[in-house]
Amino acid sequence: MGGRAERIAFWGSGAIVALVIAIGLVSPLIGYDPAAAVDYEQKLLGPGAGHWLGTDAQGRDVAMRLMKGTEAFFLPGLMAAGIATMAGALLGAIAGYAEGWGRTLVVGFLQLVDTLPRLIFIILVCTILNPSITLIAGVAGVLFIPSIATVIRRKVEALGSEDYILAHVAHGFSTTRILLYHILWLQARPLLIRQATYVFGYVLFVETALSYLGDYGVQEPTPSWGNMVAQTRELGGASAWPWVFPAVAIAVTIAAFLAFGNLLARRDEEAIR
Amino acid sequence: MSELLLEARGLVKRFRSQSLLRGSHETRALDGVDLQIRVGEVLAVIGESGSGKTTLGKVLLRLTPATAGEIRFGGNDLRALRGKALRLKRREFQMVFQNQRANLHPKMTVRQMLDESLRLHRPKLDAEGRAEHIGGLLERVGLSAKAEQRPESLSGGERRRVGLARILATQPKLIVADEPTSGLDAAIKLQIIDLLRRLKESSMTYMLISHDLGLVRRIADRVVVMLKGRIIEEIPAERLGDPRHHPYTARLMRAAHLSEDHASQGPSVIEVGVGGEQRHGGCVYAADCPVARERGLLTRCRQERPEPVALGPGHWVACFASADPIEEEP
Ligand SMILES: Nc1ncnc2c1ncn2[C@@H]1O[C@H](COP(=O)(O)OP(=O)(O)OP(=O)(O)O)[C@@H](O)[C@H]1O
Ligand code: SF4
Ligand SMILES: [Mg+2]
Repeated sequence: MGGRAERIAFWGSGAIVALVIAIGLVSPLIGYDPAAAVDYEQKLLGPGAGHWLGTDAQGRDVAMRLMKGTEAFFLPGLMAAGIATMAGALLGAIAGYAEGWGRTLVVGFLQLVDTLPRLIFIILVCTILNPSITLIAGVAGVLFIPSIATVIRRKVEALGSEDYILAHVAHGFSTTRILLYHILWLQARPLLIRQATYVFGYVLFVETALSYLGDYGVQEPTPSWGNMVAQTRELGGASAWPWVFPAVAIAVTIAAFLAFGNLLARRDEEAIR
Repeated sequence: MSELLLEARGLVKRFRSQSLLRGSHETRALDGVDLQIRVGEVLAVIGESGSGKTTLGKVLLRLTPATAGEIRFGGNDLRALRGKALRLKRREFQMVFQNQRANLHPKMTVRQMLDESLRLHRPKLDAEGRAEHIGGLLERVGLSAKAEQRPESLSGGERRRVGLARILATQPKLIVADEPTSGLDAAIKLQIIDLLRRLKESSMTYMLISHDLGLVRRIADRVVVMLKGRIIEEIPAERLGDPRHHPYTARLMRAAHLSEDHASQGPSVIEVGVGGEQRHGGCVYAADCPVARERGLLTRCRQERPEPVALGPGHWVACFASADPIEEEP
């Protein structure tokens, strides 16, 4: 399987994902002082030689802020994806394989968290604690644990009654190895890839939504794609240059991550089938 | 006689199934089984489909919990073992599953599987030692060319041989081989038989579950016959065909004989249907037994459970009519 269109989509989305990751990795190495960047004489310029993507209302270079803005979601997104997939996989495996009170406890926790509406809960946390984006991402990661755990649990339950898994028990492998390697790594990897990229995209979305909704997330003058777009509120219709590039970046990045996660998972499924 | 490897007493395994229409229904897959396996012997378990052969193998190796009974393996009470102790013990006995897909992880190559087994069972071997060993194992089962393939691209016979190679890697004390030749064409069957034979020569102990009497005759030392969860006869393999067989075994042998005549290629496969509900009190064959009717034993056969009656060295049958030999029909 995997026609030409799918191949193009895979490499296209993969290139965007790679670019975002590269920028996210390099950006912290480049010094940037948002206060020093203010230059009202250069404000609201369109794209041009000095400023490739133009400038914002305070005359700051949009390209630079776009790059530095990746820091707002890059590590938090990775962290959230890590928390959600690792804890989700582990708890899902326990819920699907273990018996007795361990399972009851885990299932209870998952059901409890699962009742929380994600975005509303995050906004609630923000209004009460006004936390850093790192903490918000952590909360987002935790909120994704149940859905990932459920998918993994179903997989584990289905495989747990398969004869070949019984054969692995019979062969003398430990439960830990069967769960972590034979089931999670060999059979549920595509599922986890898909979920991880989804959670990463979600953190970017949340950061944007929070910046747009109110004074949460990453605050001016530190740049984030979300607070760059939020400038539309102050600008009115004066100029589109400050926000159009971050808006496009957000949409393209989220789409690319979701698509790449899916396509990568599909490839993985085919490769290891 | 050599020393006991495994001894089971009074094994019972009940399956309960819930059905909306019929309510709760109980199957006695094992209904009081006593069994001994000695070091170095090949014990064959024969009997028709559903008689409990696979269940017996799984229960003996603790792959399914027994409902009741006792299992001793090399002096240990197997049913009492838990957790790590059980896991370590598992390395001493291995099962080749009836469903050949079942032995193999669908997403691992043959080499990966063997390597993994060696890592587990021979932790002292380094990577080089393992690679060498894998080469040897693959050669032994004739799969040297298939090392990098996954189960889906292997034939049924090849899968079985991978399963066997994997088990050989663990050097178990006991192998339970469940229908190792069923569903294979004649040529591949012969390869497997040959392999099983060589295993026997290397004095491996195994329990061979099969309804292939040809295979049983060629390989087994001792045969037990199962019917509806009970062992109804035990006999040395070379005495198969004895006129004093249990009435059910006699019928099996006749059926096998017939099918041998009809399909003269290859070994015979037995399959005779036995009807009737399971009766827990009497003989499991009572509903179909011609001998019981002939001799007017039916009432007793329906009510009392026949105990084993010794007929010769290593030969007994559980049948009330066994005192007098049963004449073979022409
Ligand atoms: N997991 C299970 N749940 C319910 N009933 C079962 C289960 N496994 C086996 N049984 C029943 O137990 C009985 C014995 O089954 P078993 O698989 O041991 O037979 P067998 O002698 O191996 O047959 P075959 O020659 O077809 O492999 C059958 O009636 C079967 O339906
Ligand atoms: S005990 Fe009775 S029913 Fe059972 S095999 Fe013997 S004669 Fe037949
Ligand atoms: Mg069976």
